[in-house]
Amino acid sequence: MTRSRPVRLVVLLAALAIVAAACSSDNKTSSGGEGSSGSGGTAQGGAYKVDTSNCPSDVNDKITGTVKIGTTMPLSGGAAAAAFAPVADGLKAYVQYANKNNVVPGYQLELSIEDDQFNPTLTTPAVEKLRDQNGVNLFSGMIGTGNNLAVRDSLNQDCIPQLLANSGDPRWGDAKNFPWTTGALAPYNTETTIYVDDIKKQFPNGTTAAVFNVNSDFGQDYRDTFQKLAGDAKIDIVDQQTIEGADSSPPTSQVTSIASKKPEVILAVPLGAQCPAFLKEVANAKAANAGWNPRIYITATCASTLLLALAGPAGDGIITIVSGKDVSDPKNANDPEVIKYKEAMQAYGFAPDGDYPTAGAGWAVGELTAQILKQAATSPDGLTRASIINAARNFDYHPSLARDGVKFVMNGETDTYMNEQEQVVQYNASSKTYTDIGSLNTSYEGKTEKPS
Amino acid sequence: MAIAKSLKPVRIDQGSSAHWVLRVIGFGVIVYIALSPFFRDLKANEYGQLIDILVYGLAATSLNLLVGFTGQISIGHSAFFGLGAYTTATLMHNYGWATQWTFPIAVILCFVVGVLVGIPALRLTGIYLSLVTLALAQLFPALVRKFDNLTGGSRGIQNLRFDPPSWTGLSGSTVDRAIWLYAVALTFMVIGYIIVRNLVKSRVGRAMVAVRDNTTAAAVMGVNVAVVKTVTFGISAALCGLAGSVFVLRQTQANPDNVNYTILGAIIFLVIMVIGGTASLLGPIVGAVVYYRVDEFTRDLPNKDWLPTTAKDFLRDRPNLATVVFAALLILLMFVAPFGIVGFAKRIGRRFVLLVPRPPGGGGGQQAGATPEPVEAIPATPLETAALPTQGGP
Repeated sequence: MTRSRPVRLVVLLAALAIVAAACSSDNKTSSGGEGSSGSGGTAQGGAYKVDTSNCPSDVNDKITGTVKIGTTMPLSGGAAAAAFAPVADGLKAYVQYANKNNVVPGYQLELSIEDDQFNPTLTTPAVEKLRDQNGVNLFSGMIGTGNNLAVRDSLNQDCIPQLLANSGDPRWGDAKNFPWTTGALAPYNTETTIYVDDIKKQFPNGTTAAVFNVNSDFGQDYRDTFQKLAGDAKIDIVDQQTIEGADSSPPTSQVTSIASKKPEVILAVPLGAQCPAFLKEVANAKAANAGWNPRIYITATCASTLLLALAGPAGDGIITIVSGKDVSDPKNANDPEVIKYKEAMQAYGFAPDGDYPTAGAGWAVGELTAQILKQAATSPDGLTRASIINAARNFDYHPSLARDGVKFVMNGETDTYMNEQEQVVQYNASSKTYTDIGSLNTSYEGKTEKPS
Repeated sequence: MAIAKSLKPVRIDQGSSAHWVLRVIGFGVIVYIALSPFFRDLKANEYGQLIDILVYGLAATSLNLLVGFTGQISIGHSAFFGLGAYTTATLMHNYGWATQWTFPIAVILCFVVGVLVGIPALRLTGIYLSLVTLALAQLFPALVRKFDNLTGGSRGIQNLRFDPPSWTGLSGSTVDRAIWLYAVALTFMVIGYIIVRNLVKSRVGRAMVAVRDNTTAAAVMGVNVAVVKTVTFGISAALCGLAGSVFVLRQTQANPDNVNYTILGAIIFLVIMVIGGTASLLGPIVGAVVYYRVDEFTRDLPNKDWLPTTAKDFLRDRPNLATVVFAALLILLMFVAPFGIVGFAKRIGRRFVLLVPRPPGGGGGQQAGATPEPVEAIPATPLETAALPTQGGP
């Protein structure tokens, strides 16, 4: 055992090195994500200007010729890949369309999509590869809350725009600490608030409700908001059930429990394939409990063509929100924007019978990104990483596939959510279309509660 | 191969000067590979990949100590990995600890929990033990969600940053942050390797192997089976926790949904260990490199310039094919190299160089140095280590 002494010495030295690191390391280690916040905020002239004092020097370098856009999406690896595949097609089709029609004058858009299999562990290396190997100028439309969170801190430190995160997590509105990150979907808390407004209208004297949510930050956002607002809306929450994100078996026991309480309203926040499974279980429970017909409010993330097709008749009557036009609804078939969209998709090579509503999410990200780039390119600073995020935060635009009257607005550090104008709709499973309930709700524009 | 067969392997006596030259060369190569990233002009993402590889390597090394050398199967190491990650995350975020002080706490905590989990291992072997550890793997994410005031629950903990301290001369730039974390990961990998190596090559290590190969005989020979089993479990858990601590800094966030904290993570660690070479010291590290690079390669196949366009389009239209190719490559590897890559390399190496062990009684022949030695404990058949590590259980 005498021979192990030198080895012990090595271990000791290594340990000392760590301790030395400890002693002289300053206390930057656990200081939040204020990469480049500081005094920031609104500069003279009223328009938002991001503070670049802590940024790498190239943040204000002019981008010329080609704008490189990077994103991560689940292209392989099971259910998520199947559900989101059309989104990538929509985005690619828009980029092709934009380059052909010179949407961002003087610039070609170059899109690189990396596959992260919906797994945040893979998002980090994928984003780093796009940043260091492909040299992308900005990220846009990355799918998934955890996936966007995985790189939010580093992208904000590097001052690289992380636009239009494909997630409705309210954390994308934290412009003070993460000025370089913005979201694309309706914030989950605002979505819940809009549902509660509708419940108030439908049940002015109060009602009973059950909450069914996936046990993740996503599900929790809805549940917390609902619980907070329930008292004021005279909603008595009689049951709360959860399902684990990875659980693929039907939520029979949860729905049995909910059905035994016979609530008049259910707020449902399942994830992906759990949406049709839940709706089918509820349909079974309704058949077993004659006279019980709850009003089901379901997260907009469940209202995709694929998931509703899987639910079949069980999806009939569910209530959700939309901000876009239903491009598959025959009544929109003659809408010039829908025609333009479908033509561009088919020019790109998308099947005529493809999932156009889901691909529309990718198309919308492409269009919004191009619009932001166009605005940045025409700004006095020219197209730079900083001017891109400034343009995103001084934004007022009606996307071509949005419903009439819907505007995507962002304003500095005050209004940090783009998608806040929503229409409450009810789904008709036999015609596979939505019916509007009331008029477009714009009362939460700029009012989404930011995370503390 | 035909030439190799016709040649007689060179015989080298263990401990002879020729053996030492071989060792020094091997050691030099490893040191060069480990340290060269500091002198090469790598991009930040390449350091990031190396960090990921080291994290997986350390986790698989910890598992190798338990499964490869002691014969106790664990498919719950993701829980220790997660425990280490969450210890660092929670101490940094909730209590404002400096990052470096969270490492020893993570190690100690994982050691204690590992020993506690190791206690059932005294009575259970093989598949029954793996069921206990399976429960652990399933339990961990649920516990993280349950104690949300400590762990942030489903929302997790963000902004876990470990910036390079000023004495390193590194700035806060992207590349420098990556270099710093690589240095940290490398240091831990080296420490983990040395700990495992010293344990395995010592009296304790022989006791561990004895427990693996025939528990009853080991007990008869005077090995304290209970202590060996539980302490090995503890050390293994501690090293895995350390890997988790680095991983959480690499991710800059902790979230219970992360696959590495779930059963899938434990399986990834097992796969890495097996493809690298069970009961081989370098195996898990080699396995981590191969696992990571092959996974990366197959997912990137549709973008390879050397593939014909038709093949690329075919792959693009079938994104899940990458996973299938990856799995097929792993299966192929296990056919070609049932002892893992290191075992395979040793078998090839033996055709050229035959190491003649020193006869017993010649004094300890174990020196410092990291060269793999053909004489170290190698499982008799691949099946034994893969499925039935303990033969002579009670």
